[in-house]
Amino acid sequence: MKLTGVFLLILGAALIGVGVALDEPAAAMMNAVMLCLACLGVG
Amino acid sequence: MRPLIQALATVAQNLYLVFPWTRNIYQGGLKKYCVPGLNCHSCPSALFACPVGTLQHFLAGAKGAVRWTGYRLGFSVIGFLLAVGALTGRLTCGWLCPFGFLQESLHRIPSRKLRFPGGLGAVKYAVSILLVVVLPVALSRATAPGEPWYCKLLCPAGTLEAGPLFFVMPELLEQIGPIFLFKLMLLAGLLILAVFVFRPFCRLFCPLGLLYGLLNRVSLLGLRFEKEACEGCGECLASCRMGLDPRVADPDPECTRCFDCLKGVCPNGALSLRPMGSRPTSRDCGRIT
Repeated sequence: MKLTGVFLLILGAALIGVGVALDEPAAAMMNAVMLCLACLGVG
Repeated sequence: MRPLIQALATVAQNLYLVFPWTRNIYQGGLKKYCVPGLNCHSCPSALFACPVGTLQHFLAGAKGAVRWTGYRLGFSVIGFLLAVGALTGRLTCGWLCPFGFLQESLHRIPSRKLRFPGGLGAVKYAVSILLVVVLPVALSRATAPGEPWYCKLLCPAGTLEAGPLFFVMPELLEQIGPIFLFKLMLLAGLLILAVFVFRPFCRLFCPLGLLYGLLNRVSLLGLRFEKEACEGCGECLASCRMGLDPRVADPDPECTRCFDCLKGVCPNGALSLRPMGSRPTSRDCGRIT
C-alpha cells in the first residue's frame, strides 16, 4: 500500500468525523439550498 | 462503457426534475452531502452540494466562525476531498464529473484536434488558490461573511447549470450585469474550445482537478506498467487524449484515470490496473528506471 495514501485517507475520514461532530453538514445544507446568485453571476 | 457511466452519474446528481413546477431548487436533506465532482448546487435539479461551492462557503465565513467559536471551517468537505483523492486520485474527473462529461461529449464532434499548450497548466494553480481560498477569506469580515469568488467570477458549470433558474424565475433577468455576461462569454468560449482541445476547463481552471491531480501520486488506485512486456509500439500514447504517456502518466496530475489506455490498447498487456491495497512495485507507472 502507499502509506501516504493510507495516511491521507485516514486523515480525510478523521476530518469528516470532526466536521460531522461540529454539525457542518447542516451548515453546508443551509448554504446549498439557498438560491446562490453568485453561482449564476448575478446579484 | 465510460460515457454511459458518465451520463448516469450526471443524471443521478440532477434528478430533481420537477423544478419547473415547484419553481425552486431542491431543498431536501441530500444537500447535506457533497458530490465528488463539479456539479453546481444552485442547479435547480441538483440533489447534492458542490464541494467547491461548499468549501468557499466555509472559508468565506471562517473569520466569523473563529470569532464566535463556531469553528465550522469546512473540515468535512476538506476531509471528503482528501479521502476521495487518496482513494482514487482523479478518477472522479474521468468517470463522474458532469462538466467533464460535457466537454468530452463536445470533443467527439468531428473537427481538427489541437494539443493543449503545456505551459498553461500553472493557470489552474493560480486561479484555484486565489479564487477558492484567498479571496473568500481575505474579503470577509468576522461580522460579514465573504463571497464564493470562484463561483461568482469564473465557474462555467454554475453559469450553465444554474442557467435554468432564469426560466423558472424570470425576475432574475433584471439582475443581469457585467459579471454574468463575462461568465457567459467564458462558458461559451470553453465549450467551443472543448470541441478542438480535450477538456480545456479541467486543464485550466478546475480546483477539484488540481487537488485530485496532486493526490494521483499517492492514491491507492492506479496504473501498473510492466516494462518487460512493453515493445515500445506507442499505441498507448495514441490512446491518451490528455496527451500523456500512460507508461509514466499515472502519477501525473493531468491523468484523469479514464483508463482508456487499458482497453485492449497494448498488444502485450503491459498496462493494467493496480487495485487498491496492492503493494506498488518497480513495475508501477512513474517508476520506470
